[in-house]
Amino acid sequence: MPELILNIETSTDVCAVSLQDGADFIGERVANEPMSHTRMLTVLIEALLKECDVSIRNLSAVAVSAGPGSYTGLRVGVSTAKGICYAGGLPLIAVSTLRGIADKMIEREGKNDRRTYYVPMLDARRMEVYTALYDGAGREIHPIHALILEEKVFLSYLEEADRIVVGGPGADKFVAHFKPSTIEHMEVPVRASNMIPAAWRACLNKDFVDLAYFEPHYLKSPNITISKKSLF
Amino acid sequence: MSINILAIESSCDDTSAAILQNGRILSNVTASQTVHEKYGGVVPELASRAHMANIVPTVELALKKAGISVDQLSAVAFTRGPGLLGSLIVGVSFAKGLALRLDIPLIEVHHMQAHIHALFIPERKPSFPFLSLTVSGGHTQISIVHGPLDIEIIGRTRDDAAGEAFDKAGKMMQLPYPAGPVIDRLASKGKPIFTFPEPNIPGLDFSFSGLKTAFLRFLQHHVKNNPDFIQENLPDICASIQERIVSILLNKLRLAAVQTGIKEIGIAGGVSGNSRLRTALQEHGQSHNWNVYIPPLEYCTDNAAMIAMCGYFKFKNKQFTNQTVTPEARWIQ
Repeated sequence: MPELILNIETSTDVCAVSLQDGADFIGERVANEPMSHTRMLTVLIEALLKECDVSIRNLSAVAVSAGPGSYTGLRVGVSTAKGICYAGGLPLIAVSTLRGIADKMIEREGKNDRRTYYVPMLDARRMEVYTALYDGAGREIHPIHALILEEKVFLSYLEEADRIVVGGPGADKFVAHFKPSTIEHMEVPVRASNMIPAAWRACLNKDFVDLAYFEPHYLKSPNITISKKSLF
Repeated sequence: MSINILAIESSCDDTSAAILQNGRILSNVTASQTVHEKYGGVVPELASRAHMANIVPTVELALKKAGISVDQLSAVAFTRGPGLLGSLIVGVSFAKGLALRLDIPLIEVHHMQAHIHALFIPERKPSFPFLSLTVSGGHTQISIVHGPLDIEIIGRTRDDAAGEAFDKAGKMMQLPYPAGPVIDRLASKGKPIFTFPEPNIPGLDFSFSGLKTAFLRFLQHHVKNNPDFIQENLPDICASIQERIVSILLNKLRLAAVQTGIKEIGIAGGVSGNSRLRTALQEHGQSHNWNVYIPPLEYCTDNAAMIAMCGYFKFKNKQFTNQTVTPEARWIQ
């Protein structure tokens, strides 16, 4: 039985969609133009489905990047995914963007080594990143959090692990700035195909999110200030 | 075969969905957001987050109340703008995803045009051409409506909107947000004994920023002599500022009626829910021989039924949009 899953990744500047059949990659479309998500997302989906000769009526589920990341990007992705799922009565899968990057790093090394720690990072502007920590077996060691980058910020991990590998857009910033010698770097772009392993695991475990009430992982509360200026 | 249109409105702080069948509204469901009250105004980020949590339940309830399933839909109409970008994005993206999966047309709707379309929802409808005074928290316009989709704006505000004047006056008096309905209620217990200047703007355009400043100066002047002035005179102050806002609106509307010779007159938009404006318009109608049209309250404030009505006219004209459509926060008509 085919399990066609559409993956939507809009949490960064990259607007990407991919299609998988079970655990297997079928195709991917990527638009790198920033601020194009609202215009391009459904256009990319249409093009991808056509290219892969798949009817949207045959989808079994939709997976969406749940963040953290750009609020606007996440909104476009999650709202569109909700529209497709609601119309088709399909289950919705939420995949952390960081988990996707970590899965990609682990897959590339192919070692399943618990003594290696993988640190996926997304750029949160200035010297901040969104990050999480996984070991080579894919276990989550630290959940998603925001972190201010410093030179030695990850060194304590070396007490537990033999190697530390950083990856993702936030890691590019970290490495360019601090040039750490004891930490390895893997360039991993944000792609909808990163979501394939996690989406498939969720599908097998029926780990679906509530279509009505699901909200992306904003991570931070909005910073709202109230004017204290007195009129009288 | 029936024309069934799902309409989605998410331009500000109300998530609304409606179902229209062959020109008749079957359901109109609105989830209002209360998170903004403690901030004294709509916080865009919070509004957007609330839309995300409200969109599916609202659409689902609208379909259920109408007894229509998604597979029976002929098209999806949605508010493309103007409005808050983060709020619009949720409704527009959801509509695009839904239309893509159902393979049905998308219809983009201009929020302010749609307010006028609320006048077509009741049985008794204005005949063309008619004048519409469209007043909300963001806009104040007088239009000649030549046909359902042929709307000519002949007057507009140069600065603040009438609804903004209500809300800001309320904020100065430390009334809860949104202040418009609160002022309306308090004003009913008071008398318009204080006078405020009428802006001297030629033609059919409006201005409310000067009134706002005059109102602040008035309060400051009296509070200096009596710190309890506002509390002691609240109903009369509310009645007075309301009377001035309403008279500014109606004086321009009367001028428009004289200039155009049109006696079919409608009001629309959130401020058209103001009880003084509604009765004053009825009174004007009787003394000037106008046929007056006022939508029911639920179609005055932001709602998806009016989006559906506009969508229906566009559907019949085959005015569809495609999947590249994006929200327009400042969509000029």
